[in-house]
Amino acid sequence: MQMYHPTASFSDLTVRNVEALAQEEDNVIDLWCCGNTDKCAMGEKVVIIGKMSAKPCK
Amino acid sequence: MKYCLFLEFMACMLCACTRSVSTNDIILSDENCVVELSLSGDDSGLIEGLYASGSKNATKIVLLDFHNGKSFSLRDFRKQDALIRFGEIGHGEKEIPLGCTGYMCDSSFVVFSDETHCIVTYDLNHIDLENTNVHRYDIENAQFCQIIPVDSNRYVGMGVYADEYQYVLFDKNDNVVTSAFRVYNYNDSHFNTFHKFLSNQGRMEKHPKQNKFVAFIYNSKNIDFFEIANDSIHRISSQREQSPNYECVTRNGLSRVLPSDNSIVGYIDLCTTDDYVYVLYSESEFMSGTDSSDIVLVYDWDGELCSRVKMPQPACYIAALDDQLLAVVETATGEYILKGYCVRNVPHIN
Repeated sequence: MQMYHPTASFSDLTVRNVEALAQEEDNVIDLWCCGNTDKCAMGEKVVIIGKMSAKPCK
Repeated sequence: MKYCLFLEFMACMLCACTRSVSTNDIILSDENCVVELSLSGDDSGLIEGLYASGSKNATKIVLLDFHNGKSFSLRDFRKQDALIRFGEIGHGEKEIPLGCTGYMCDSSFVVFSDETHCIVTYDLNHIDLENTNVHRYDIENAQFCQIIPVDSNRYVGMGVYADEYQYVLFDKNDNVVTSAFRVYNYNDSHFNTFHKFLSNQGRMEKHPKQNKFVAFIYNSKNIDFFEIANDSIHRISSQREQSPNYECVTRNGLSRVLPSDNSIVGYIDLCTTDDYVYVLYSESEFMSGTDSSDIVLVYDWDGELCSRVKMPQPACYIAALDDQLLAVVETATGEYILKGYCVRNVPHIN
């Protein structure tokens, strides 16, 4: 019977997948629509008001 | 009276002491600050705009500081408290939606809303409903981020017209007189109609006395100087030094333009006097989260860069009164302060 060893390493494929996921998460950028002036996003029926900002709104 | 004269004398002395490092740089210090007052009080909110007429001897300023159901406060720039609040929020006949920006000339303040298609003119000497004038406009294929009156019968709008042009001259009967200056991305197929408008928002101001205009778009170093004469928009100078760098996204019917990694903050705000155009500018990357700057680029009305003014503190918004550069500064504790720097004798680049 083969015992599960808690320190066993992940397969190369698993490691590559985890690294890719981490890389993807690192690339996520948070943006905020702040304030009451200008327009952040637009569609036929919806307009989101605000200035796009790379830091949280005041 | 003697006290006032003494203060005037001291202000002139401070102006004369403005430190010029080279022929084109002005380093301002706190000693050049001749006015400083707190804008944070019980009757003010988040400040999102500062307006002044740029005229000689003018003392009135308008703040876009939505609070208590009204968008703006009229102030004397030397006094702490607002003279009056105006700009009722709503969709009634003489009401405006939240977030409208404006343009100030000597005795009036003009606000527009591209949602309700109204242009509202307030008489700053007598702000009441009787003296508030409303004009409705409807220009097909146009989306505006700013509208400024040219004369009693015409307006110039900044935004995107017919997916192609940045500026439109139209009259009170909704006739398009002319349009001019292609937007930087007019032939880029990645940009739909909404993307084009979102990527070409900015600020426009007028010469206090002449039909000359200056406008920039956000996240760029693109600025236009133009003049309106004989039903035409004449280019004085167009500087497209760095266009915005956006990725276009459309999801669930909603279009957005997202700044790319190398996008800059670029131009932030501008104001004008008879002689100069002052533009608040930052070379910081957009992703740094910067929304203020201590650098003001000074242009003449030919579009020539005359000098760079470095203020002692970063400002969010600027306005000009004669020879004073007004700046809204936000402190570390979130308090807003209005500072008035003397900028007499702007040196020209040789």
